[in-house]
Amino acid sequence: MALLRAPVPLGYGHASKEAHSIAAPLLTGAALALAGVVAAADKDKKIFYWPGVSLLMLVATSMALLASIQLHHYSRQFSYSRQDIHDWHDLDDSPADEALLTQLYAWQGDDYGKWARNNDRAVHCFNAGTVLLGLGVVTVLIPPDGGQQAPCRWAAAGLVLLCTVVEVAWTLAIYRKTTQLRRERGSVLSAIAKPRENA
Amino acid sequence: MTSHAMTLPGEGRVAEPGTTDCRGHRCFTVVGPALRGDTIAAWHATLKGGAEAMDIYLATYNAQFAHKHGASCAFRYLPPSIHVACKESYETLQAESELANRARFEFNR
Repeated sequence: MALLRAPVPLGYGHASKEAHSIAAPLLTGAALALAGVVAAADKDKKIFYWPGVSLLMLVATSMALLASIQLHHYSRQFSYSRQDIHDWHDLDDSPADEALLTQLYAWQGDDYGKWARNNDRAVHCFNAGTVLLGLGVVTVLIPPDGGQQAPCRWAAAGLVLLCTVVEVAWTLAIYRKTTQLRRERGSVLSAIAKPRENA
Repeated sequence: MTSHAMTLPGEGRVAEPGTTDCRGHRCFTVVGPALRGDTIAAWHATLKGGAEAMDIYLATYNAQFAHKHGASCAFRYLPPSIHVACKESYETLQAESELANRARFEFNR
């Protein structure tokens, strides 16, 4: 029954919900708190090398992550399973309900397309937000001229920058990997699926 | 596990742009992206040429996907551009399938 559509892997929807409804709000809060620290810093003491750039990065991080939260919430209404259909509608597999089920399953597949499109937008915002957060933290850590603990701050900035570069590379690899997995599993399932006798 | 794999290193996409899952019976094939030249307008123009023109069109633009569809898939003889265009409307995909079947049948009659 490919009227119905499902994510690959099947746990994607649950994991996506956690990323956008738990991780994203926490990261947004962290970015805004850090932006507040930078904005409130004493200008005469020169604590940050590029306070303006840091603020820009951190505010952009917050906006990207907020967009990911909102897009996720919007898309989530279109994500439901076959079980949800049976939970909400008084239907069984009897011939009398066949036309109803076919229509509801077709709508599930249509709605899945809306979910996938909007959730992918949320994904791009989330990934952009995490990368911007890394870059924002780097600009905050870079010590000002003559600043205290400069070696440690440079080391911390380098470490965060390295992790951000790894994050970007890993994200791009995941983009390719998940789409390959979907194609591979789709081909395998189509090859072994046999038509039902009552279809 | 999936959650950690997504949250820490970045989150993967649900779908590759320009692709869709086939909506045929017990078919799970990912169709698309459509090749350059495979468009809705081009396919509709081909339908007017009858079965032979359709077969040439499908051999050109659907060869890489036709054999991957499920055995009972009713949409295996639709080009990728149609699958992708109808990814949010099963009703439209069905209408396109009927249109193609009618074009093939009427030409042969």
